[in-house]
Amino acid sequence: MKLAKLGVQVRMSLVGLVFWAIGLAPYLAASESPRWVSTSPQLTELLFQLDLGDGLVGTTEQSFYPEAAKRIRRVGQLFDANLEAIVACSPSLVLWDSSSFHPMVDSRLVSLGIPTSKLSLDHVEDVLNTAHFLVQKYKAGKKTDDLIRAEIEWDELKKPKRHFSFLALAWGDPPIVFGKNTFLFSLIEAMGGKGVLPYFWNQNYLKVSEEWMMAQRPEMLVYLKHDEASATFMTQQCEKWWPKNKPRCVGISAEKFARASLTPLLLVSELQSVLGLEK
Amino acid sequence: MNRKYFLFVAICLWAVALVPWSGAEPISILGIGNPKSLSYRIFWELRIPRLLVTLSLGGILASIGSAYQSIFRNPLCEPYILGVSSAVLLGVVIAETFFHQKVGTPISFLFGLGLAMVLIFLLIVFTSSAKASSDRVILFGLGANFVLSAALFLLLSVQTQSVGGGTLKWFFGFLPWLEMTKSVLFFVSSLLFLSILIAFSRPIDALRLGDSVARTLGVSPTISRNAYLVFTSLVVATTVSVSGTIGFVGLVIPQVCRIVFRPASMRLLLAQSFFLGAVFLSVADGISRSILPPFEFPVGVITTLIGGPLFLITLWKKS
Repeated sequence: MKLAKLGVQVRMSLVGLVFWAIGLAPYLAASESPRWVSTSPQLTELLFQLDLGDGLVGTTEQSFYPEAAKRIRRVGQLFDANLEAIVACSPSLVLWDSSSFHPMVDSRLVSLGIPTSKLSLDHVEDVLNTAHFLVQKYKAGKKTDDLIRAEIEWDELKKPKRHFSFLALAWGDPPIVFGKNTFLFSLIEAMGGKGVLPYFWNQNYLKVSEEWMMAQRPEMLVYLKHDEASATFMTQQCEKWWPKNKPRCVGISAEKFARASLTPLLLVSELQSVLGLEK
Repeated sequence: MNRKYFLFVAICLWAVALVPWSGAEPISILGIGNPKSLSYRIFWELRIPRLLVTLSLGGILASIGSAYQSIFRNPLCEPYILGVSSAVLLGVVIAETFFHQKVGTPISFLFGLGLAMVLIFLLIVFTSSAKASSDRVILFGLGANFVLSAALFLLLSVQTQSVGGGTLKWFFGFLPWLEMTKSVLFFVSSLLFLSILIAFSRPIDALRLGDSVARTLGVSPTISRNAYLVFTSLVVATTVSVSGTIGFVGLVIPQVCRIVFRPASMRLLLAQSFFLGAVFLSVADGISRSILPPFEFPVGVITTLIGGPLFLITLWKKS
C-alpha cells in the first residue's frame, strides 16, 4: 500500500506513533532489568530484604537466606569471589561487601567496564546506612516493611536501660571472640552491654587463649548456639574458665543472630528476651 | 634424541594450548571469534592475559633457579633462598596489619618491595666483603629467611582471623588477572630478562667450576655473583609482590631440564628452564582453576603436588 493513498489522519497517526516510540526508547532501555552480583551471604540477604533480590544473578557460597537465594548462581567461596565466574554472569553491577573486598579483582572488573560498589556491613549502623543507600539509589527512596521495622527497633534500642559487661564468642574451642568491628558486638553494645576487650583490639575476630578467658570477669558470656551439643560444651567451658563467679552463659541462635543483615534487628525483642534484658 | 626432544616440546606446546580452555566457566570455540559473545570476553580478556602472566612467571622463576644452582654450585638453591620472598611477604602483612591495606593495593606492593630492598642492601653489604664465599651467602639467606619468617608468623599468630582468606591464599601463589596490555608488557619483560641472563651467562659458567677456577678464567667471583644476585633479587621481589610465593618451579624445573635435555652450556640451560618453567606453571594454573570451579586453588599447592611426584619419577628413572 502506498503512503499517498492513506488518509491524512492515518498519516498523522503514524508520525505520532514514530515520535512516541522515539520518546519511549530511552525509558525502555533504562528499565532493562538489573543484573547484580553480591560478594557475601549477608549482602545477598540484605538485598532480598530491600526487595532488590530479583536483580541478583550471582552470589557466593553459604548464601542460604532467604530460600530464593539458594537458587542464585554461585560465583565463589564465602568471601572469595572468582573473577571469571563474576564476568560469566554478565553483571551490570558488582556489589562488594567490604569484608570480602578484593582490590585486584575489583580493578580488573572496572577495567572490563563492569561497575562496582563497595558497601560496609560491619556494624549495625553500617547495615542501616547501606540499606538506606541502596533504597535511595535503586528504589527511589521506597523503604520496605522490613527496613521500616528494623529502623524502629534500632531507634528504641538506642536508649539502653542497663549496663553489663560481656564477651561474645564466635567459637568455643579454641576460643574466638567477636571483635569490636562486628555486627553482633555492636548490637549487644546497643542493648547496654560493654565489651571487655582492650581498647586496642580492633580486629573482627580474635583467637584468644584459655588463660586470657580465665582472667576476664564478664557478667555475661554470649555464644553462638548451633545445637544442644554446642550448648552443653559451652556450659562446661564456662565452669572451667570461671569456676567461682560464673557469668551468665547465654547461647543465641547462630542461624538468627550471627548475620549482618536486618534479620537480627527484626528479632530484637527475641534477642533481648534470650539475653534476659527488658525492652 | 632430536626426535624425542621435538616430541617433548610439541607435547608441552599442546598442553599450553589447552590451558585457556580450562577454568570456572565453559566457553565455546565458535564464541571466541564473536566479539559480542561471553566466550570471547572470557577467552581474550581474561584467560589469554592470565596465560601470558603464568608463562612469564614460570619462566622467570625457573631460569633464576637454574642460575642460582649454578652460581652457588648447590642443587637445593631456588629463587627464594636469599630471603627476598619472606621480606616481601612480611612487608605485605605489615601493610595489612597496621595500615589496613589489602594485598594487591599499591601501598601493600610498596611495603613488600621496600622491605625487600632493605634486605638486598644488607645482602650487598654482606657480600662485598672479600670473605663472602657462596656458602656464606646461602647462610646469610637462610638466616634472613628464618628471622623474617619468624616475624611474619608472629604477626600472623596475632592477626590470624583478620589476615585470613586473601592474604594467606596469596602466600601460596595467587596469580593476578592483569589486563591484556599489562600482560603483554609483563611477557615481553620476562623475555628481556631471559635475554639479559643469557647474554651474561659466561660468568655463571665460570662460577659453576668454583671460585678459584673462575678467577683463572678472568671472572671476579665476588663482583659477578653480587651483580647477578642483586639483579635477580629485584626481579624475584617484583614477582613475589605480583603473585606471592610459588614454590617448586625454581627448585625442580632446572633439575628436570638437566636430566631430560642434558644442556651443554648455561645459555641452553637458562632457555630450557625458562621454557619448561613457563609450561609447567601455566598448566598448573589451568588445573588449579578447573578442579573445583569457581574455587581457585593456590597455584603453589598445585605446582608442588604435580611437580613433586614428577620429579621423583624422573630421579628414579635417572638412577
